[in-house]
Amino acid sequence: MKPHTRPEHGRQWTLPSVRTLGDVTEIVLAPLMDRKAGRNYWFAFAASLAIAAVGATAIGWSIAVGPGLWGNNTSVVWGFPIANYVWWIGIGNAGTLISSLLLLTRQDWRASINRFAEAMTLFAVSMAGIFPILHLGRQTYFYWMAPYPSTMTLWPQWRSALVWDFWAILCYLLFSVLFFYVGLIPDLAALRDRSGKLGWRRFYGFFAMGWQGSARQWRTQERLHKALAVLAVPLVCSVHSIVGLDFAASMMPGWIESVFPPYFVVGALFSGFAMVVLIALVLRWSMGLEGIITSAHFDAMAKILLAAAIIMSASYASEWFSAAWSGEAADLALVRFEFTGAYWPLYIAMLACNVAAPQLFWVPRLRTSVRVLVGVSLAVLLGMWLERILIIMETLSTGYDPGFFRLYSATFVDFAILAGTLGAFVWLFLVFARVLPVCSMYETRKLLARERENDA
Amino acid sequence: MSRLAIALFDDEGPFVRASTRALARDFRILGQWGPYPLEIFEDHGDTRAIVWAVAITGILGAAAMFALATFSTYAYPFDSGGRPLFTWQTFLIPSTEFLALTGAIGGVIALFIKAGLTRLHHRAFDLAEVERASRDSFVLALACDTGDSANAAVALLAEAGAFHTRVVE
Amino acid sequence: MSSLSPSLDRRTLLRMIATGAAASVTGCSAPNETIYPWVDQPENMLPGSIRRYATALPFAGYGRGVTGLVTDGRPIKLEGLEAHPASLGATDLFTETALLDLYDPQRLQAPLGPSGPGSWSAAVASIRARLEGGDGTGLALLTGRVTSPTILREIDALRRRLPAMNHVEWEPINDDAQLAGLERATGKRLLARPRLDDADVIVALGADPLGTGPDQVALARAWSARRRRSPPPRLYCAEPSLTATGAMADRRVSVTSSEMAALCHHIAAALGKGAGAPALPQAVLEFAASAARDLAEVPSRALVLVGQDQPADMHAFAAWLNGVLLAPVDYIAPIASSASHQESLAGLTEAMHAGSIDTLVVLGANPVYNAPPALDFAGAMQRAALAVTADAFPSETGAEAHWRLPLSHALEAWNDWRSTDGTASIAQPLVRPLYDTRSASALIAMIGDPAADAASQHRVRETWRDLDDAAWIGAVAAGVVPDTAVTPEAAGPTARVLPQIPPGRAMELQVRPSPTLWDGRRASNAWAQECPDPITKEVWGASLRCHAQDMAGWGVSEGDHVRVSAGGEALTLPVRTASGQRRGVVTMLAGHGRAQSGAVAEGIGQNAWKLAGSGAVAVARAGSGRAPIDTQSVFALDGELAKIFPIVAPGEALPTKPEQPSLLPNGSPKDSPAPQWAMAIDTDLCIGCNACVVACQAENNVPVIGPDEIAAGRDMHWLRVDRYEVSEEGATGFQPVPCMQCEKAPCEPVCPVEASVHNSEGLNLQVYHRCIGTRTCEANCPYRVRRFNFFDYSQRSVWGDDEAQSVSAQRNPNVTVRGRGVMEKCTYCIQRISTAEHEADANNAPVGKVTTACQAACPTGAITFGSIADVDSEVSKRKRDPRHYALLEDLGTRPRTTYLARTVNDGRRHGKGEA
Repeated sequence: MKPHTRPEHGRQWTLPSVRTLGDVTEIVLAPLMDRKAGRNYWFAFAASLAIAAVGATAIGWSIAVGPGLWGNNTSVVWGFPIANYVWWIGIGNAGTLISSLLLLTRQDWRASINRFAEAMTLFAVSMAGIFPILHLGRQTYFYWMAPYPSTMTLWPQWRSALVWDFWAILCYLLFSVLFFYVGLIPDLAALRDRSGKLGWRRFYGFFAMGWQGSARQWRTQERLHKALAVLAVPLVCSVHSIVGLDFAASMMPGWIESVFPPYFVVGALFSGFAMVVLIALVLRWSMGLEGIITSAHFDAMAKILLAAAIIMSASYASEWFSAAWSGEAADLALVRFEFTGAYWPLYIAMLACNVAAPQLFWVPRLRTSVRVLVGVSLAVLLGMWLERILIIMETLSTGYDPGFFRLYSATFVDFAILAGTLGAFVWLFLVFARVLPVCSMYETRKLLARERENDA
Repeated sequence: MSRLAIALFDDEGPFVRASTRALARDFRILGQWGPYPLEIFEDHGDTRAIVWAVAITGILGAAAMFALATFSTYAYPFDSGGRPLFTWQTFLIPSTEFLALTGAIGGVIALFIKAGLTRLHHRAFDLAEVERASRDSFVLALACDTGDSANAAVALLAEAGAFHTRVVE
Repeated sequence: MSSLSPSLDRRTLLRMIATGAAASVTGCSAPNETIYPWVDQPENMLPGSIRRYATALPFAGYGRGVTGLVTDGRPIKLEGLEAHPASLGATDLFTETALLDLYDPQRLQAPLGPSGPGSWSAAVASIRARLEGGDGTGLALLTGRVTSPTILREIDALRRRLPAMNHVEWEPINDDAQLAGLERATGKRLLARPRLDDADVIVALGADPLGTGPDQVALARAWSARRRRSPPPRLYCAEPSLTATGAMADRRVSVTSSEMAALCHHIAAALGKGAGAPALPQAVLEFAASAARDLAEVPSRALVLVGQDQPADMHAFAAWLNGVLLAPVDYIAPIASSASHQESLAGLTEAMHAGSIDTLVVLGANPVYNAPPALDFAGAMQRAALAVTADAFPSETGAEAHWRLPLSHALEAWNDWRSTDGTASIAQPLVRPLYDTRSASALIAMIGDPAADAASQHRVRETWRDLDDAAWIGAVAAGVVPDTAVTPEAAGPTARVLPQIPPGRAMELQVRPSPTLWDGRRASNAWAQECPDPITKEVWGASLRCHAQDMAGWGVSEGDHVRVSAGGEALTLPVRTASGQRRGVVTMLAGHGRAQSGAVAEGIGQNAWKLAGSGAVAVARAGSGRAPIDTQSVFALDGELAKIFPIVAPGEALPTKPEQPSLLPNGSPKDSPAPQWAMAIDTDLCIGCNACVVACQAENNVPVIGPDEIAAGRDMHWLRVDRYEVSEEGATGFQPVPCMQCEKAPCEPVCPVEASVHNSEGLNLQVYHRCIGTRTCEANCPYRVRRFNFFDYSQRSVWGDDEAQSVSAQRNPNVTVRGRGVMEKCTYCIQRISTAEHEADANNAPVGKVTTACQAACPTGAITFGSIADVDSEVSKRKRDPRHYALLEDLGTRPRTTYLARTVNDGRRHGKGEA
């Protein structure tokens, strides 16, 4: 990605109302320290918890009775759980990418959004992690995918994309926790130094691990942060490539495509950025962060969404093209099925969301319009979810053997589980927003200092 | 017990100026604290060890994973779709993932060691000014052997732009 | 009803079975009331080892020999009996499903009288009380077709005591038309028995010899024997709606009933034996010309067949034409009574309505369900002072009766039957009666003499007293009594009969026997209900088959419901377009719409017997309702997809393909010392009868999952039979799809836990206890042959509230019962392979012949199985056939299950260049 050209003069990533380093700290910490949560907060808290509880019930019922409660059938053996998994882990992509890729490419503006984006990664990957286990027929034995000297003397089957997936999710989640934590330590120290109540001071103090902000500590932390960023970029790409390989390392039409790994990485980035835009809008509005999350941020993110949409469009086109070019009957049949088969309205909706909607961002004014941003982000999130379920439904409904073509339709339990993870995600975010600083204070201070330099 | 002169700066410019001048005047900098990292912090010790720690633990982790995959394939050999036993290409995939995880773990441990973290009690915390570093200010502490040098130090710091100075006995 | 039945849990059942095993399995001797536990294990009675016994089962009154596989005293599988002419070592769907009836919790388990549960003695006493002192006037015995010498002997004995008694046989699917037709043509009431293995040209006019029926196995075997020989035979088929015979025909045309009759005139005219040529559509005319030319070309080797439901003059026409052609047809006097079933039943019902029947005993017939509604049999039953029914399962007739008596399953009693060719079998029981049941002959004997021995062996022995003890034991052990087949008689000169051409109708209804449920008597069988219809692939019900243009005319689309009405009766059911359906004809399958048959069948489908015989019907849109459930939705193959089911002309070879290049090492399995198992399926012989599907289900403990699960797109049959239509040629055929056992199996490397692995004998194994249910294997299986336990299917019951624990007694102890969340699939019957290998090990001999369950069932020998390490094995030979192909060969999976292409000899493409 090309470094964003920095304007020679003027501040764009912070508003002039933010004058001092202390202002940054105040803006970010105020909701945690001073203000009590309002009615809106508690309403959202209760609603999301209730939805999560419905999802948890659906999950519990599924585990007790069996995957038969879902829409999955003998042909479309994969359904919502896998689509939800891919979708969630895709959303989890953006946080780490914003933190690492933009850090390495010196996109300083990431400072005010990377913290909540990373938190989003953690929560999204946690939600994603539910599904591969839930999806199993015998969930209680999921650990058989882990290598350990079992009494059966069997080890994981290393050629299976699912084993790669197991490691990818595990490593990605734990890595993201560490990466998040390393970036959080200085801010934890700030919380420790600000908190009123002893209990909270101890809590933050424990996790701040004795951070002083000394030169040596800064130096070490910054070094590690960059080193981890260097690891994170390939890790993120590999995780999503592996998710792509779940499909591509098969022999089914519509799945066995070498474009899948990069296509999944971009798709993940796409949906992840849409989610970041949505969260940024909500946080800015609800937590008074206008001073440090500016329209320039949205402009930049909208451009990334637009770029990703173009790459996605190219990926779709390449699928159609390669089917037409190769003349492979099964591939051609699949493309025909996409446009004319039972799921065509979903496919058209997917194209409208993922290809058409982001084109609005060619207009500079629309890149900063809250309504358009919300609309397009929701469209992209919906469109990417449709894409994931369609990848599964279209290939598995048809495949190679016409004698076993079967359609798929989801059940209430499927939707309840999906909604439940959305509820849990929102709930986790609400808790996060009241416990940890949603923006990285030290990085925003630095951004402010650089902005003031430019301004001067 | 020697004294030290401590000062607070609300901007990195004066702080850097004060640090540079203090060094030029042969003051020993006891400590620098800041609300965000600065390039001049680089003088404080070699931190390349962090990168080495990440690299070595990462590579060790990857190698261990690869070895595990190879071992387990031969420990219980079976025919899986006519694939060869030693399918190293596929072994590389979990190894790569594991590289990142173990590298990060190694790096965090190195961070704790090199940055002296997990020390919840440190002498610096006795200085009220240090707390400001987590909020909005740069803090500079200079070692002074005598009262005169302390005064000189304070003067230097104030002149460089400190908004608050103090001599700690 | 279950509350009235004595409760029977699994333990009790197994105890009873084990008790029975001690007596019946070791000795097949007289009932032994003393129970001796096995203190010492009898020699050669290893638990789990399978012993085979010859016996027989009735179907529509005719006996068919079977081999019962018994383990630990429980029959667990039925296979064919080589020596029996109606089995020839193979089975059909009805033989395969019959086993489940034995363990079916819906069975009648104890007598039920007018005032609740009763006893056999009370029931018999109430019958006898009405007959006391009389000569049998007012007594009517209504049975199905009776061929059993013992039952006939008992009826004769009863008639000697009660000379005025009335005995009527009633089968809704009967030979009335054929007997009448042959009487017209030859003056004698005869039945035709075609010798299909001698026929080079067969013209089937509404006949379905390859379809369901008592003779299906024998006819299909004969047809397939001829089909394997060169020069290729030619099968013509004219019918209103696609049947198995139509599907396998080389040339087929759809006709209405008037076109069918007109077609006969054209054939006669083309052979120079008739005049007049009624108008016909061009396609039918071409068909007639081509068929007549072929018939004339091979004198004495050409044959015309007419369907059971065709009018008598069609049968007369066939008899005449076959006489002209010197066709390979035998004529025999009917094995059962030659009286007309329709007329007998009508006469009986009339007498009942008139009040002259006061005691009615119905034995294994169900006229309330399947008699013409105009007779109002249920109303007639109300007039009888005492109505007693005896059946194995609840029935509509039983619900109207005063006494409902439970009959034993054929495997629980001594019986005898005669086959369609007259061959008699003495059927030995394989298990002691599980419930308080009696055999039909015992009931008749008890009516005559209440002290009659309830045990059936002596009675059957009495019938066969001409046999000395050695001959008796020999006949029982062999499953057939030698030299009992009827000698064909000469038909004599046949009169020329040309069928009367019925007036054309706007919409006519054809009612066909269900290929899975027959006339409805198999409807309570869950295996049968879940077995797909060979043509439409519908399960758990059947829709009305229509032509698409007719449907458009009524303004309905696929799955909508229509109201079919005629003569005051109306049925509402879903419609479907069926390929090969004649416009203007709608087709309904009999056997559905059971009202009183137990939980399995009740509420499913509509009773076609209510409209049978009405001919013209009115059809109107009736809104939407529950859609029919099927297991296959795409039948037509076009373009590249046609590679799935190639069709060749006789003698034409499929293009040989070079071995697919592969990045994977290609070890040659043929060098291996172990057998290399493989299967070859000849699609040119597969008639889609589904015997293999249920054989596999019985052998491998495949659960029944019920209509809701199948409607959700789930499926458990390890072996499915796909039907394809290659649109360009209009040709169709069947393709059984078990696991392909790919050498480069795509399912294996994707499994994260090694639940799917390969063994050294080329089997693609599924390790159930290792499977965690990721389903990736099925997602990556191009053939879609893996089956997933979405629920704990093995523990769920489709038998309603009745706990189906008795069904678990049928399970094969050598096959794991799969739990929830586990993937399963065809294993090439690995338990049979293991048994053979253990035997070989013990005897230090090479592994003998292994027969898979599907192969054993197949009446046409379409399935061969064996080791390709042996180049002389049957399967190796088939794999060298020029018609050999692998499914989706281009994918490089190297399947071990491969196919031989279907051949079509329609005379158009490669023939003599004539239409």
